[in-house]
Amino acid sequence: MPIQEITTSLTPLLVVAVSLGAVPLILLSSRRPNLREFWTLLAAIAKFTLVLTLLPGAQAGKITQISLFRLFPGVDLCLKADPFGVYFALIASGLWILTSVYSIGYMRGGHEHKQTRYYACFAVCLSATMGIAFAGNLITFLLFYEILTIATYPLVIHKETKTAITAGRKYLVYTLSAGLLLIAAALWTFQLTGTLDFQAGGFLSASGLDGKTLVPLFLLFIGGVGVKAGIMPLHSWLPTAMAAPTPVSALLHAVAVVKSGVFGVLRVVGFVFGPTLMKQFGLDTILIVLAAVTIILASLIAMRQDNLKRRLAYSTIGHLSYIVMGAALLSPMAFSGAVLHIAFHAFMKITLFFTAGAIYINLHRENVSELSGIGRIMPWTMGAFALGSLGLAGIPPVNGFVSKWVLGLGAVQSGHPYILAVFVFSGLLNAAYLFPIVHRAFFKPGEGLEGKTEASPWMVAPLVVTALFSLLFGIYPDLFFRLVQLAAAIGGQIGGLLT
Amino acid sequence: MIDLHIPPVAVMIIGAVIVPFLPRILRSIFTVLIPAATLAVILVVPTGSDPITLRLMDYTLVLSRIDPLSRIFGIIFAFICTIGGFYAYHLSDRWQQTAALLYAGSAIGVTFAGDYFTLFICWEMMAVASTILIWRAAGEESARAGFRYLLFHVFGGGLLFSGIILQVQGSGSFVITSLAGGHSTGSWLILLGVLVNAAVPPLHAWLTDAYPKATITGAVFLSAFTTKTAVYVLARLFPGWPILLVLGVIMTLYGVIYAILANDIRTILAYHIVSQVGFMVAGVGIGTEMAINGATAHAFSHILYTALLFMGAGAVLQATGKRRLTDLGGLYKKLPVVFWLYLIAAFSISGFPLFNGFISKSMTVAAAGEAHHPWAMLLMNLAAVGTFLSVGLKLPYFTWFGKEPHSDEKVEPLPLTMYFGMGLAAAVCVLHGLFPQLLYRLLPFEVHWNPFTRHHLVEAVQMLTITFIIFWTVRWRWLKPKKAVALDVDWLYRRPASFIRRWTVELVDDLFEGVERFGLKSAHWLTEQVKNPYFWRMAKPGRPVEYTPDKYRPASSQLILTLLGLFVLVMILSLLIRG
Amino acid sequence: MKRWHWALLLLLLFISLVVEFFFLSHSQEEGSHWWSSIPAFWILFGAAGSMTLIILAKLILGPVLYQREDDRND
Repeated sequence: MPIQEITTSLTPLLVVAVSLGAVPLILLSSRRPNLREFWTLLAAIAKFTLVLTLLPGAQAGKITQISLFRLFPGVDLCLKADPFGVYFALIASGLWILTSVYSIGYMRGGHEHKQTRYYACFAVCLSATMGIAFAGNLITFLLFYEILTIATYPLVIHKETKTAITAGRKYLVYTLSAGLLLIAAALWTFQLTGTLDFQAGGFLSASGLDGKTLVPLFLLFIGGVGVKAGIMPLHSWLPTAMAAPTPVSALLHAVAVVKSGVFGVLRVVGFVFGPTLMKQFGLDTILIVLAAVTIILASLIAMRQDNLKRRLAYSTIGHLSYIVMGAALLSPMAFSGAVLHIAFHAFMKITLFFTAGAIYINLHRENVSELSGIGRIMPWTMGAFALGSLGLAGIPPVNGFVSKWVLGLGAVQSGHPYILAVFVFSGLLNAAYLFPIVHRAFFKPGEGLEGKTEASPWMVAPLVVTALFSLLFGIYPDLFFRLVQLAAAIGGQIGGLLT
Repeated sequence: MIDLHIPPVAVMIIGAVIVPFLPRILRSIFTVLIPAATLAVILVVPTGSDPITLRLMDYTLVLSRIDPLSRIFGIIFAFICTIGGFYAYHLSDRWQQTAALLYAGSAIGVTFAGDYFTLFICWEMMAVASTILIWRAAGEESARAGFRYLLFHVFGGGLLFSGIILQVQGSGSFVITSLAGGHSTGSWLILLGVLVNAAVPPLHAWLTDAYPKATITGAVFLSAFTTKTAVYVLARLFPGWPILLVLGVIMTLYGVIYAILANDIRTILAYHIVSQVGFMVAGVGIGTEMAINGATAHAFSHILYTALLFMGAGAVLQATGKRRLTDLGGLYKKLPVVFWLYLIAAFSISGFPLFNGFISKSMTVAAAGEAHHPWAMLLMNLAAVGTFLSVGLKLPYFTWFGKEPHSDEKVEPLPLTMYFGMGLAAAVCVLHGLFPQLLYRLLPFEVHWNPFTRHHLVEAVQMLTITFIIFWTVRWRWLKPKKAVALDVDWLYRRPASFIRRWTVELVDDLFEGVERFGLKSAHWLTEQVKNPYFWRMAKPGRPVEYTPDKYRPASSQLILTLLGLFVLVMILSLLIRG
Repeated sequence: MKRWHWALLLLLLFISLVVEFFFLSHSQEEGSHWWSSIPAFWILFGAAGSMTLIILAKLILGPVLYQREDDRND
């Protein structure tokens, strides 16, 4: 294995800490909303810039790390910005900037209460997400994973209605239980191998363990990360969590929380177990089945949902399992496709969620059946929605097609060509539950829309930006940050070690 | 000749992006100018100039590759888009004009694509853009037909996608080369995907379902591109695959029979597209140079006269508001020019000497003969007889004659630009009919064929005259239009659709909802038992405890704050202690 | 159809028969099919063909496939 250049630097810690530092400032500015929002935006831009400084190193395959302190011998809390971590951090922090702009439009347009608490919690959540991205070992990962859970709770119950609180309770039940499974898995791993550090290609293979231990261990891990990753049947917190305000659903439940889940799956498959071990004990088959079932069933259920956000939630569940499937297929191309889909799906899904929120604030409509004709008064919003829909169905020239293509190549490369049928069928189902919305918005006459115009620019601008990015990435995938190359490198790093 | 290789597709796409932002008059001008400019580019860039390539990951993409086969298709695509631009000049619907340019542009993209990735992108873009031309027509019928059209094309695209992925993995390269060599799962899947777009039965119903429900101008564009790009890809990838000969011949007859049964004039024309494409598919299946030439020449001529047929039918629809033969009739005095222009197309499609159908169809049929497929020859000629019967005789007779005109039936005047578009197409039909060399020199292989032999002329005259006589004799007895719809294969998937939906979608959803509710109830029960440690402390046997959140909130919020505080402390400590 | 239309039609038919019988040799390259030796073959073919198609379409398949326009349900 080529020796990776490791440098020590304060940057990963700063990335995590910068939004935490903004929290007291936000809390103190609660009476001056513009100043408060300024702190959020400043923190977001600072965070993103810091991650950008790590990007060239990541593209060259370098790792930047910083050890926080030693918990006990062999285990320290450490942040390691490896290429995969930087990739995830880039997407999450970049999208936070856009979500913050969007939040301003949404929260103010809807005259939401407790905005200070909202912005403060958001900042903590992003800190935790960065921590997850840069976690160098299982214990650090776990710590930030749980913090993310707790910090998102106030955001889920934000509206404080009965539905919201029930949703929050369900969310906690699922995620905290999963956390327990993850803790158990981590402890057991430590007991078996004495180390918890992530390593490309997995560190369990060196331990010479057999299937009797590895299979239950794997199941524990998957139970742990699978809840956040929306793998069926652990998924049902996601649609319920749609009771949260839309920016929360958008960033957290389409980007940060759920992507932390699949990020965890990829870490487990690629950096704990490793492809060789996975294949040896048939662990990949377990995951392939779970992913395939989730992809198809989630899309089928999505077709039935009239509430727009719930439909999008099930769509997210389906697409998360594209990523899980990519991990399960084990070939370098498949991993690359999964990594790529983390970013590309985030862009598309966040566009759709932003759209849903804009429609809600602007027209107070939540259900698909109420959306007739809104395309004429909200052309930018629905145009972005149309682009996102095309991409999710895997139709070029939107970026969703590129990740689907790479995943497809990965499926054949891994010796499971029939999985192509799953992706193709899912694309068809995506078209079936998303295109009617586009058609209804643009080609049906509207009702009760007199005197209404496009939503607030604070909301429309971010969603147009994400839609545009989706289109640009689809036309020329390596346009920004050379994401495709980075994803390919990460995929090769993990999957190339399949013997 | 310019040395610079400008990709024609770029001209079209850039144009399509600009057009929606232009004011009405400029927009109409550009809708004509842009395809005309593309045509100029195609004519001027030398064949065989270096392809334009691009690298993506480890693969090479070939964005534009001009060789004789792609060039002739590119020429006719650009030309017909120009004609369509004239026909649609009067439109104030910017989305139709944009969609038409995008559609034509992606078709040209498919034609000049040298690699599978580019081809697939353009293929899918064609599907999306063409759907808009259906949806822009008002009415519930068009909305639903558009959906079926789009979903079927996504399905076909999925087949193509799977085949391409398998093929690319197997060969390691994206570059398109002929698959004439071997049969693999990948190549069969690609074939199926292409056959969807070529409207080969039983995968054809999207065409006959959707084209009659598109907009008047949109249908003209639709008739030209999707099926013929599929023919081009077939010629590129599958020349000589025997199954294509069989499918093609069946197609020619299938389309003709359904056309005889149909009542909506555009449905009749749609079925004739299926029939005519059958000739081309059969030609590709025969695979000899002459057969490929025949298929290509036929594609070229067909695009022209079919567009003219749709333009004529569209003109009738626009002028009278009626689309069914049972409602039409007696229009000769009111729409004479449209009649004569339509007739030129009718003569062409029927293979009359001196029109362009004759010089191309006979080449394909003769190629079948030379390749020792006499039955194919006869069956194709049978289809030609049926074609004349249906679109050359029955349709125009019952539209323009057939009954006494009512003086109070109003006819809307048609824009001059519509006539101009039709006239342009008609002119080329006649031009090629009189001077076939003008078309033959564009063909991919050298032509050793003369259509104007006594044999061919005798054959054509005899078949056509007797068919006319028979038609005239039985026209009211057996060929009277009937106000009904003939069921086609799409009945097989449309009818059970609601049933399938109930069992796959709704059942799954209900099942999950039930499981969820059960799970929630049990979780609720469990949480009631264990949710608050204070319960166990407070609960005395026999006395239920009243839980008020306010009483316990300080405790839980203290807990959360403590945890957060610890976290912050950890961060600060780590900064100080480091290492 | 006016009388002169019919006259023209029958004249064309007649000319084609004349050309066929006097100017065409029935055993050249294109006459190598089994039907080249049948006189006026294409007239018979056109007649039989159009009748077959009409009968097949309208009289056999029509009653099976026809459905009232408004009966389509999806």
